[in-house]
Amino acid sequence: METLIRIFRHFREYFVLVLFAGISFFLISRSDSTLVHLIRTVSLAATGSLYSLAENLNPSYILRGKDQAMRNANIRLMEEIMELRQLKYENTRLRKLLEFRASAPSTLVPAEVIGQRRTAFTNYLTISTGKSEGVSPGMPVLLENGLVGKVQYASNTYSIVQTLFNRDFRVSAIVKRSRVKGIIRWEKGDYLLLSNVLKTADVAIGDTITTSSFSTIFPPDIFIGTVVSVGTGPTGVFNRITVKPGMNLGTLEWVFVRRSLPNSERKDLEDLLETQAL
Amino acid sequence: MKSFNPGLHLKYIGVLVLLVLAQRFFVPFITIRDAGPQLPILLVVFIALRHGQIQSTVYGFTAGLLTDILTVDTIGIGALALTLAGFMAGYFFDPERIDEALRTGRYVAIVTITAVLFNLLYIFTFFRTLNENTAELLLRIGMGGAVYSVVFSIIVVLIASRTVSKIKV
Repeated sequence: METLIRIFRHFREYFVLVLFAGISFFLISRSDSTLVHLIRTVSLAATGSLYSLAENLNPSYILRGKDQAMRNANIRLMEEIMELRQLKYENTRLRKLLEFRASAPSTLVPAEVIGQRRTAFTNYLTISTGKSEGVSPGMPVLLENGLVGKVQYASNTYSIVQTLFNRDFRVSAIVKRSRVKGIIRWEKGDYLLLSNVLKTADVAIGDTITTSSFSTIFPPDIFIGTVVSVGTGPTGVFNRITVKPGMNLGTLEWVFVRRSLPNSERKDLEDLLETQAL
Repeated sequence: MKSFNPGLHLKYIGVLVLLVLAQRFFVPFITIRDAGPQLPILLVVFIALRHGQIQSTVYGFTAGLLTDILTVDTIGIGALALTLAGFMAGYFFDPERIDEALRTGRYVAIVTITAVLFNLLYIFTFFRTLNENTAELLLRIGMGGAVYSVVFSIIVVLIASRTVSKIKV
């Protein structure tokens, strides 16, 4: 026993290091656990208030009332634009021949962007709406000019949005013209990548990219961006397609949360398939 | 062995919380191309030079965890990087030079080394897999961020050179 105590005393710095490094690794591995979500929600409520406080000190706050009315009008227009876009593509693709089931109309909740957390690998927004307005994690966040991201955490009055410009963000996408499917992701800079598209696929500069029906999180036909370049990927098998997103993260002041949650029945079924495959 | 001084550690925790809040709310405004200072490192290095390796490891972990909680990055990454940075800074603890902790260029030099190490650890932990951008990231964020931290450490030393004689730590 004494020997053990002597060893501990002699190497106590290393024991402390191993203990805290171990706790850190444990936390990294459990970053999606309920406890971490709870901590995040509490932290969000606290930091959201600080952001609001800073915003209220801004002189431009006085002008916000007028601005809010204009924003509300903008929401209605945005809904109309989105509806028209969807109708246009439906006509183009002759989808009237199919049994097209229109998705249930969902409500858009306007939210002010009150903070932005940006690193080389991640990009999150803090917005001024939360559970009290029916916002939950997983809901899509968008603007009239395209998809912004999805709600990652939500407290009563604030939410954190994981934007498209995030290494962990993936969304199933489709090329509107040729119906080629791929996955939108971000590596760096101001552009997105449409990955998993074979070299032989029909994709051209100027093509419109929207969300596809493959996504369990995002409803189909939300505009993402436009193809600006098509090159060969490092393996030579896939294309390297660069997409210019519709939204500009640097100028975001307001966003809209679409109150639609992933189809849980479909997700459960797909998860079951994945479990069985393992 | 020196006795534990709860009042002193409460002060440290207070400063630590302020630095973490500044890191969250102030640093984003002065970040240049993703490279920004790591303010909690300034305190962790100071603690390493005044109290030794165990304390700097503990404060490194605490600062990293608080930063992780306030930001929305994967929880534990900042804690791990700052734990290791604090541990490394602790190697520079010299019982003979405790009172010089903030008075010489030694503090700035150790902040430089610790900040570089922290940034490298952070980048590698975050990355998980390497790709062609790594070298550019190491240079831009690793070195750029370290330089930024050094600038702040010089400010701390300059302020301390005028005031430390009046403060009993």
